[in-house]
Order: sequence, then structure tokens, then C-alpha cells
Amino acid sequence: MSQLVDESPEEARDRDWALVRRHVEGDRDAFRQLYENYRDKVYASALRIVGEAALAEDLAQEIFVKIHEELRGFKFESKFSTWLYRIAVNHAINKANEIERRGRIRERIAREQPPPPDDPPHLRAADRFVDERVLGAVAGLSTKLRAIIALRYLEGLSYGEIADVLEVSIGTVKSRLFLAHETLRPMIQDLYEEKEEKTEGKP
Amino acid sequence: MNCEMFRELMFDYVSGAVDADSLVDFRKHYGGCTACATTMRMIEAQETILTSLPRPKAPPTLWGRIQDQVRDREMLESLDAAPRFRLAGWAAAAAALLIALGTVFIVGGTRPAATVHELPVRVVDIAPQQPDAAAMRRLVPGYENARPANPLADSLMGMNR
Repeated sequence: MSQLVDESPEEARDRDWALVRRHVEGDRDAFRQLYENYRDKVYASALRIVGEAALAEDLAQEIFVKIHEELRGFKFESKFSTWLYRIAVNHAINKANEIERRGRIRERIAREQPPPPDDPPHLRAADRFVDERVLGAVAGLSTKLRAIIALRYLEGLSYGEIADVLEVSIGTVKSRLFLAHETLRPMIQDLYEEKEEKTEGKP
Repeated sequence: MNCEMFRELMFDYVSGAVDADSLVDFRKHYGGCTACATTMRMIEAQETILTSLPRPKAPPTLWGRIQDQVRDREMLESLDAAPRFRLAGWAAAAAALLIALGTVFIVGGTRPAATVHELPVRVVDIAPQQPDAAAMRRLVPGYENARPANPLADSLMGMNR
């Protein structure tokens, strides 16, 4: 969730609600502020689900325009972030399913390079190798499992929040997460087993 | 605790949400079941890897694109709304015209006086063919005392009383 430092979930909810109210009252800056709070999260989720930067940008644009259109209908019964993720993830899943029917999405995700981190070059190469391996493995998951991986490990949503966003039970969330881990296991197992061996080998 | 119950609690355990009572049983099973312990370590290790993946940032061009699309949509909506107002205006004008014509037709069509007023013109036209009052007096006894109730009949018969 988008939270400022030391901001409680309730404070984040009240801050977002106040911005939505300002938007409904005609304050154009309020929508810009909501965008600033959630742009990276929406874009990152879209990228994890559809797998290509250009497509994720198109998708993030469509999602924010949709949010702008539907914001007047927001009922203040749930967190704004839950409402936003529901729109974003459903939109991204629909788009991914549409692309997947044409059999292109896995190639796209595998091709997508993670952005260069600020680490020193010798660390960067190793990390990038791991990131590419993991992203390639995530690309092999179904759209539903990719979405749940994005919401849990990229956005850091709780199981309850994921259940609200995807409109499924918490049990279903956990089952899907377990299935995602089991599917990833043979593809990335060597990465953490190597690490464990190295750690165990240290005096 | 059996393996199925253990699996149900695995994700709660990772996020520190297992209650104290269940935690004792959970740890007992964890220590005694090799298969579940392996699965648990797998999940913990994979969670660490997945949470450390780079977080992509939205490109700086995104806000401009959103603004453009929102502006275009608002403009299209205002253009769409304008013909609707014009159409509504024309419809209102047409309805008013129809009501006015209908009123004229109904009022004009049911006014009996209009027909009656036209008749004297015809009477003038046929005046030369009026029956002769003297001849009528000869033919109809008491003709002088007759009082036709209908003024139209009177006028047709040329009676000027």
C-alpha cells in the first residue's frame, strides 16, 4: 500500500479519502496527488502481469483514466487502495489473458530486463542474473498466479487485502500462493539451495 | 497437527500471524515432519527472493499521457453533449409547432359558428330563388302566424320579421 513514512493504514486511508473528496469537489490537483501516490505500484503490477514495459505503460494509462472516470462513484466503504488495485489488477489480468490467448506473454516477460540497480558492477551482474532467472520463472506462471505474486511480494498486500482485491476467499489466496511456490520451485530451487550451502559452509 | 493443517498455517507463520496456541503445535509438526519442513524452507527462501526483486518505476511520460487522454475524453463528452442539446431544442420546437397546429385544427374543426356564419353568404347567392311570401300566404293558411324556431329556416324562407 502507498504509505508515507510512519503513516498508519488508517491515516493512509483517511489521506486517500480526503483526496477523493477533493477530486469530486472539482480540485484537479487531488487526482494528480492520488496518481503520485500510486503510479509506481500500478505500473509495477501491470508490468509483472503483462510482462512488457511499453504494454505496461499503456495499461497503466488506461487504468488511471478509468479510475479518473469512476472516482465519482467511489463509495468510501473500502480503502481507496483496495478499490484501485481491484480495477488495476482486473484490467491487467484481462489484458494478459487476451495476449496469452495469442501465446505471446511468456516470451515478453522473459525478455523484459529489470532496471539497473545502484549496486557496484560486480554485484550488479550476479543480481541481474538472479532477477532474470526469477522473472523468467514467474513468467511461466498462469496469469492468476502472476497477479497474486505481484500483489503479495511486489505490493506487500496482506492476504485479506489480496482477497478483497481479487474478490476471493483468504483460503483461495493461500492456495494460489502455495501453488505458485510449488510451480516456481523446480525453476529457481538451485538459486536458494546454492545460497544455503554457501551460508552453511561459512565458519 | 497433521500435514494439511500445517500447510494451511504456513503463510500465516511466515507473516507472524499464527496465534500462540496453534504455534506450539505448528512448531512441533515442523520439527517432526521432514516433508513439511522442506516445504516451509522452500516457501521462506522463495519469499525472500521474490520480495527482493527490483521494483519498476512508472515512466515519467505516463502522467502526460493520462492528462492528454482525460482532456480528450472531456472534450469529446462536451461535443457529444452539444448535439444532444441542439437535438433537444429542435425536438422541443417541433413539439410546440405540432401542439399549436393541433390546437388550431381541433378548435377550428369543432367550432359550429364558423359553418353558420358561412351560410348567409350562400343565402345572398340564392336570394333570387326565395319563395314568394304572397304566394305562400295563398298556399298555406295561417302562414303569417307561423314562427319558425330556426333562424336559418327563417332566413332561407326570406322572412323579415
